[in-house]
Amino acid sequence: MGTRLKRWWRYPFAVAGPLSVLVWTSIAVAGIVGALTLRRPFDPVPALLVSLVSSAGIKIARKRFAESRGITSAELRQGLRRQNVTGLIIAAFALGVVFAFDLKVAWGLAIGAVCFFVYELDRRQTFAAALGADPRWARDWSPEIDPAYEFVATRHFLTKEYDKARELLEKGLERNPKGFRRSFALYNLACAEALLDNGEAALQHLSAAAEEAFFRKYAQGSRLGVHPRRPSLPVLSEIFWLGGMSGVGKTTAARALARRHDLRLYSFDAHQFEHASRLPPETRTLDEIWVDTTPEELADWFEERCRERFGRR
Amino acid sequence: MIVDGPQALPELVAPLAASPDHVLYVVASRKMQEPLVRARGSGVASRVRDPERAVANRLGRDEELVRRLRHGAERHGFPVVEVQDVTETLPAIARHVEPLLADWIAAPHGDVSGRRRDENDARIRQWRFYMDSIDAEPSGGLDFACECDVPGCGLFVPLGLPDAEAARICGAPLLAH
Repeated sequence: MGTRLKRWWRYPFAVAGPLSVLVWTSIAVAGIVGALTLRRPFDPVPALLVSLVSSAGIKIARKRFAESRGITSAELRQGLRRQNVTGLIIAAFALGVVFAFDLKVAWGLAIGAVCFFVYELDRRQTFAAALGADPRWARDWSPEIDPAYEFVATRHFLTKEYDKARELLEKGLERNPKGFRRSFALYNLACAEALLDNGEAALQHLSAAAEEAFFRKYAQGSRLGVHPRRPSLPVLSEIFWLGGMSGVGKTTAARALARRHDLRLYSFDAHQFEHASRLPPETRTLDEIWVDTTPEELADWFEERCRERFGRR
Repeated sequence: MIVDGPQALPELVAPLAASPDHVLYVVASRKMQEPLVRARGSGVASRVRDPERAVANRLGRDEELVRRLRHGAERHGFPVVEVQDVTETLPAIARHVEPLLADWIAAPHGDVSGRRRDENDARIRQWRFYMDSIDAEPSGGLDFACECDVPGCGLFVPLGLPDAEAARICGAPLLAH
């Protein structure tokens, strides 16, 4: 909140993009003029229609931003949905003010437009600040100024071209993005590397992502618009490894300890079938595995399976 | 987060562990382990030609694994603790882990309910997979963690598989109180 206020203080009149300025100020002016001059309650209907068309225009502009970079991911849909929800909340707020103070409907239009303009301004500043740009000159619709590589990369995940995704994410990170764009790039880079069997690099970038404020806040239980069911990412220094012999009460003890201190518990035994489904299938019979064998062979087999489950094969 | 299982071999944990203090191996003598393994049983014994030989092989395997484990742990400087009785396991682990948790214990614990839910989810899935693999109807129950949002809640919810799955389908948390 503090940094946001500071940013607003520094750039009180930062440009929210000419299109947004034009659309929202004209709706606000139309609302104010309408409220002062119109007499009948349904006179503002044409102005309302104009505002709906204008907001559709802004949506098209956003889509062009995505399309000119080839972004067609679920993230984009999520962002648009968030904007729609914000739009509805602002509309409800404006209507509420109109009814609460018994104002003319046209005032609602002006209030809604001003609120949305302020919201838009804030989103733009956040977006521009994420790239370390001066928000006064942030014109994010030009791919030359902001190629948004990290968003473009998601397209390659969908087509399973993970090497291309990795290349773009690395290019995106070279531009030193900040805030959510940095977390987003690091996390996706880790995913791409893991899928390309580069576990070391993936762990490094995953740890770096987990260190980002965006994920740390989320790991503490804040929702921040992120899916709340996705488990938080522990950094390696927060993992305690408990191994040893089976059948000595380890899991029971680990469970008790997890309860006592509210820790996350990951028991290999509880993921056995889930892991097995990703490993090469066992072709031997149970007799061949357990009876016609020696303890040494069984131990070799066990260790082999462990390595496979850790992705070391 | 605790990662638990005999699968966490020293050679596999070494590149991932933040420090040797973040690792602990618990072992026991065969004298202590054997009755526990026999009492616990496994789905294998009833489906092999010679159950006694299978159990003997399994116990022999564990002895061999402990030998290798001690060797690997020594090479990487990981601590190994030997327990004489199953009641010693929890205190032995707690003694080792709790000093690392000082900061965590003092801080707010966040989404405790979500953590217990994930743990229960894994056990429900595993149970269902197992039942499907042997093509049997589930019987008996498991003690699931209470999914309330009270930090430190150690209560259990004893449930059978169908009840646990039914609760998941309607999105209800498993609660003990």
